[in-house]
Amino acid sequence: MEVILTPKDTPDIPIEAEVINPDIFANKSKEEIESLLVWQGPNTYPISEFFDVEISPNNPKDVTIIIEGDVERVKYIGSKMSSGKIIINGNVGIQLGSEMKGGEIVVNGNAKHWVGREMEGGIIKINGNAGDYVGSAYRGSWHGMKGGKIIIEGDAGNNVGAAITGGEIIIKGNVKQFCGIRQNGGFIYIGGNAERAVGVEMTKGTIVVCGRIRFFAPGFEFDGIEKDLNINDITIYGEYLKFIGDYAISRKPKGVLYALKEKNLGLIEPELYECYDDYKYDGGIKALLNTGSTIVQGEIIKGGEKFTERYVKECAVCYIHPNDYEYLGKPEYVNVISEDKKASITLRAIPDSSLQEGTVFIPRSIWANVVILSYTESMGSPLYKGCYVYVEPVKGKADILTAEEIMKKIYG
Amino acid sequence: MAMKVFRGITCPVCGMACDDIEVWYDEEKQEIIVKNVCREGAPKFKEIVSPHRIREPMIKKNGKFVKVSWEEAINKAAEILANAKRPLLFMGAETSAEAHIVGMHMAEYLGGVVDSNSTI
Repeated sequence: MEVILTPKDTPDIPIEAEVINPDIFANKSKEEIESLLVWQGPNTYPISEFFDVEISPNNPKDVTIIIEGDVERVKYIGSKMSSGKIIINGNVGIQLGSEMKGGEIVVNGNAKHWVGREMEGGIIKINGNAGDYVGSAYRGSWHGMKGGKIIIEGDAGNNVGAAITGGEIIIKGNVKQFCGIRQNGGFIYIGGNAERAVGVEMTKGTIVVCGRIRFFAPGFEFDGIEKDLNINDITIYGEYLKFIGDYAISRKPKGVLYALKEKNLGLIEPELYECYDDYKYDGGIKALLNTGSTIVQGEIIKGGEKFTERYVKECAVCYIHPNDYEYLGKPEYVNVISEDKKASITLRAIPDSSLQEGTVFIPRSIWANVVILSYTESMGSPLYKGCYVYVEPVKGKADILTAEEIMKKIYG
Repeated sequence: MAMKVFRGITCPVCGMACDDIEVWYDEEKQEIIVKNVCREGAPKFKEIVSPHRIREPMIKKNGKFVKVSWEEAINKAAEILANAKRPLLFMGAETSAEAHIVGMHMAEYLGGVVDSNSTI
């Protein structure tokens, strides 16, 4: 049986469609499939509200569902499926194949977050990029993927393979932060670069990184060089530095992390370590922004005094490491520009030696809000610590906007 | 009128949850004195009598806020929530656990989503 689903309009509110599952479609007529219910907000609607359903004359052995088009706002496709096949010719929303037990999902497009979250078996193949939390554990759980296989042809986001205890994750491109955090079994292969703290808190399992590792976790011990690895019947050619860890979490960890020797010599020879890309450029720095409450700021906002001069004085400021401050030409004011370069704000510059070079601090306030993007990593709050901004000096005097002026500028 | 004294109050501001706070309240003079509380917590308690605090329910009618009865305001709020396609109850920070429980019951009843500043 082969069923073709063609999405109608893009839904304004995302729909939750765990019924798009070969186990559930099996042996059902066109009308029965059309009347399966999906959730949208607090209501349920028949699937025919969002998809045209067609039973194709092809009759493959396994139940096959083909989705022809973008379903970026459809969640939980293939969730908990145990057999059959889903092919998506377009981009797909979050929780694809979460808790999947068997069968196969192929996406000819990009996938959002939580691909194969806590999956136990089967295969997921994404022929584009994936978002955060590929194969990872859900909130409050220590156990991620247990079995099966996920293959991502492109890049993936943060927290890939968090807390996995088995199975295989193959990412052919780059991953961002905390790949393999709390890993306790299984195998993760990264064809490209791993951004920060790869394998941190791992106790078992294997990670192979064929690109460059930046910001390596400190709890790993070098254990020699190995050539041409063979893991799960896959041969990975090249010379690899072998590390055991993470000693920060366990006395006798069994986690193994291989890093391609030619790109990661700095991990064993510190003088070759290139920790940062050059963050300074002609006319400014690309800095890591941390924000946070200051005590005075807390006193002001909790007392409801956001429209006072005191609030501007305390919060419309950017603390910069003295070396970076000197590089910027010791300006009285700086322009802080968001990572996507769509928003900027002028602040008073203050040198502060308690910061690390390459980082800046802005008190958490309306001024910081202007340059922080809406990306939340599936949490309730944007990245108030650890997003990037561009900091450029202002020549001479500058006007600092008050909280009221910022609101009027943005909301009219 | 003498000040009313409330002892053993838990501070709602930060995760430390100091629970030995004394609040002295003079209802007539609209005055508050707080003891055992830090620089961030004190202004939060004093906000109870602050002049900028909105104390009566208001509904926007013809582009202007008009004071209305609690009955009318609660009915209006219920109507908005019941007709929402995707009710989101953002419960914010610095709210008591008891208020969070009420919010969660409401969200369950409405089929809505609950979130707060402290989601991780």
